[in-house]
Amino acid sequence: MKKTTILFSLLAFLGAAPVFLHAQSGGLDPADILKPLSDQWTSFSGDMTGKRFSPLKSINLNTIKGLGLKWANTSITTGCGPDGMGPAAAGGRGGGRGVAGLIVAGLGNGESNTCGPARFGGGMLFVDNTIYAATRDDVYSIDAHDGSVLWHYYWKFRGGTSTGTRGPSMWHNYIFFTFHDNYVVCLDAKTGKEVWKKEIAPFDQQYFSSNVPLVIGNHILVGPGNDMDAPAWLQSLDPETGAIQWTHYNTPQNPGDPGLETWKDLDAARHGAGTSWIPGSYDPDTHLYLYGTGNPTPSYTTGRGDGDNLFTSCLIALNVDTGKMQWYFQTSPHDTHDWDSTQTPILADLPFNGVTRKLVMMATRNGYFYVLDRVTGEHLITSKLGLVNNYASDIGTDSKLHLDARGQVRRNPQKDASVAGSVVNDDVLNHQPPTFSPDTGLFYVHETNSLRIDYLLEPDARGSMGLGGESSEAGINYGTFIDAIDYKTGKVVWRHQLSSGNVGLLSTAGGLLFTNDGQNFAAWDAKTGTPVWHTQIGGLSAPAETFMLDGKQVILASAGTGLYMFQMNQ
Amino acid sequence: MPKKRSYRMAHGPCREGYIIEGYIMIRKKYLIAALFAGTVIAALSYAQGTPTPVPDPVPIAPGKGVRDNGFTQYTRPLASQDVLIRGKALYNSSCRSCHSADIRGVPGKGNSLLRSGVVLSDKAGELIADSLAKHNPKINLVEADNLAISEYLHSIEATAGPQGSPPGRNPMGIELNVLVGDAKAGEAYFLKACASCHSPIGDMKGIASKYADAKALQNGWFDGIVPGAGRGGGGRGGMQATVTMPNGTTFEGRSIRKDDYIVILMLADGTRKSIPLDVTPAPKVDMKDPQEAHKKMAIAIDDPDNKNLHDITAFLWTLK
Repeated sequence: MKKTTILFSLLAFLGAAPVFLHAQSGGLDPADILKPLSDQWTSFSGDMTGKRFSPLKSINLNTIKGLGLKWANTSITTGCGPDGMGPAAAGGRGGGRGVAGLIVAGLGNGESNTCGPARFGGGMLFVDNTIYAATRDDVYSIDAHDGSVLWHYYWKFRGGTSTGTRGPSMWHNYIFFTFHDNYVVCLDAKTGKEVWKKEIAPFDQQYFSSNVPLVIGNHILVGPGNDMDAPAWLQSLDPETGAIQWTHYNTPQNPGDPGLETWKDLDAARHGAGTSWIPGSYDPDTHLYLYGTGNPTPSYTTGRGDGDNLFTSCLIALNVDTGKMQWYFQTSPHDTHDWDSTQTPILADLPFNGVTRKLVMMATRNGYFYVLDRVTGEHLITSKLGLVNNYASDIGTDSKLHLDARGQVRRNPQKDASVAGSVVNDDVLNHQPPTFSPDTGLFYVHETNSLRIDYLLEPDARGSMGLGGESSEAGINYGTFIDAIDYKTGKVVWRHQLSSGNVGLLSTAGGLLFTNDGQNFAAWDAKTGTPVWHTQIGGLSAPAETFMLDGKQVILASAGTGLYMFQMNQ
Repeated sequence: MPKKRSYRMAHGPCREGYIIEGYIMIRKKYLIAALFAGTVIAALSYAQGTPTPVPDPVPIAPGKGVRDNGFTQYTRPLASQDVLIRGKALYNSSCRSCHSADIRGVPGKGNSLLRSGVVLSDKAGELIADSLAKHNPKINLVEADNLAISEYLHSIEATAGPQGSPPGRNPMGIELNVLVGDAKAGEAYFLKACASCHSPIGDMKGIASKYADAKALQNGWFDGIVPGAGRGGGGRGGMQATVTMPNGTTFEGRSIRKDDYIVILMLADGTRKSIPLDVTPAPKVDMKDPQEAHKKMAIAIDDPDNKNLHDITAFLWTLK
């Protein structure tokens, strides 16, 4: 090597060194993210198993009556307008107590941003006594001791499709977040200042993105959502630079790709979507990332052929180092009801038929519960949820299931959307995360029961685009419940009715189950479903979390009315 | 985030609630003009028995996008009428036979341009020109023609609906007929399953005339919603509750709220009564759902091929 080259390389290294050293030291070690949930909350589900089960138990069935408010901050607001302060006529921006640095970014003009109370969604991180939480267009650092905002990163949204946020992620001293107009940003955790940003999908092609940039080791997994008939993918980025490490498409994109035979043709497969918009779970032993894919497009209608449309509405096991798929299980083959399988898979090592196995459990939007061997994809259990689930079997809870040899559900095609209308169950559940308690052996998930009529609006012989259908306006509601499912049998052990609510669940070693019931943030006995505690703070906007703050177990809840921290009264 | 139910149908995370940013900010007069033009073309085509793909979207507002914000296609300034008319003529002569009038493609001949990444990402004809230069069969156009075609395609993209919907909700203008059932079979089923609560010559007399069309009637009777009367008929709505206190006192009224911890009633005299349930001994609450019979009916009529649904609708449609 020439001297000049050596000198140049040395200078380049020294120039990069501060960033490199800064990034690699302190903050959240990615190795800690792979550990079981403990004193912190380091990822969307708390840990990478997806269990949302905390081993903390000072708040338990015996002490829960003493759970009270530590603090509430009801004045944190979103940014809006060109400077984030909002139109003066609307009273400007509150920002909450202790408003510190406001960082304004984004490619829009601020007119597509919505002024109002911050309604945090998805996973909120708790690391080193700091909470990192997000709304659609805003990321916040919050002091966990009193709820004060430490910094606020405001993103001027370009517009387009808008859904909910799934929350931020953290790698060492970096905070990552995906904005809906397809930018992933990397922020300095201490200051909120931007380190890098990257557009992960073309806004011109009407992509939108909402998923957590999920940290697994030195990979940041990102992927867009979309409602156009367009390709969908999962991509791994370098956490320090945003450089692409690998890309995995969720449907066939080239001649010879596996699964192409399940589509009408290559063009249909390329436009078949299968977006992944909810974080999956990760098994560090096998390096498998298990995640769900969305429904095929066009969603309700024709144009995809009669095949299964792989790998949409699937549970996929992907090697996170290579981006190669190891196995798949399709939870809604040839979906025709907009039933994404983007629910959180839960990983656990449990006894099954007398042998401890590495399992993955998943309840999906079409109202079915599955247990598989997560190493091999071997099917173990399929069971039906819902009181009026009729899309693949007769109505009722005990009707015979229509399954194929792999245990995959086979729909009744006459329950597809039709011009004259088809009576079919609505979504039995959605993306709101379930929880699994190893102590009770029960998998807990929300269940919604209603019937609707699905209509085909666009019987175009060429196949339709996008929607192509609609539902009857109201439907008939048969109630919302928490279901507790025995993973060994797939049977619902108990079902507790809620007045309303579907935000996701948390279970603890204290024998408790937390979620909201209408206007209440509430707790139940995880074994029996007996209500044991509640407080009326309004409907939650994100599932509750628990961790240790200054040596005490605390519980964090975000409601539409504010952010609340609970602890045991002295 | 509230949204119209019809948009709830989309795939993806929409079930949580979609807002199509800027959708409500569409310049209505332009949109109406475009949709009207499309509807007229559709109606004419259908009336003539030629269900050719329609509409040819009409250029709307040169110099402005169709929406104030949102995806690029909606905010992109449209070209002048001259350019768009020229682009349309060029498209019709050079592209339409394989990509169809509505740019959604012709099976076996040409792909859909409406969902084409090339068209969507094109800024000013550069990507479309590049694609045309490689086109097979060869299409030789001068730069101005490429630009005119691209501007015309962008004007169509601008009228596309939300969540991947093509321009218009029924661009083919196909009649969507829900009256496919057997009215006589529906009458027989109605008399067997519904007559204990409803009568064709009583409360259901003239029921069909209360709805805008047969589809609205089907949705209405299935959901149990009568226009102007609300769910459950008679405008009563809501659960009825009887609360028996430990001392034997009872309260009856419409349940405003009921969870594990409280029941709130609106009593017959218009007063509100809140009763805690997390006390010992707890009051006893009996809830009566005015839709209970209707809910059972909806389960009972479910059959694998939806025949009962269609038959009942066909029968009720005769009650005008």
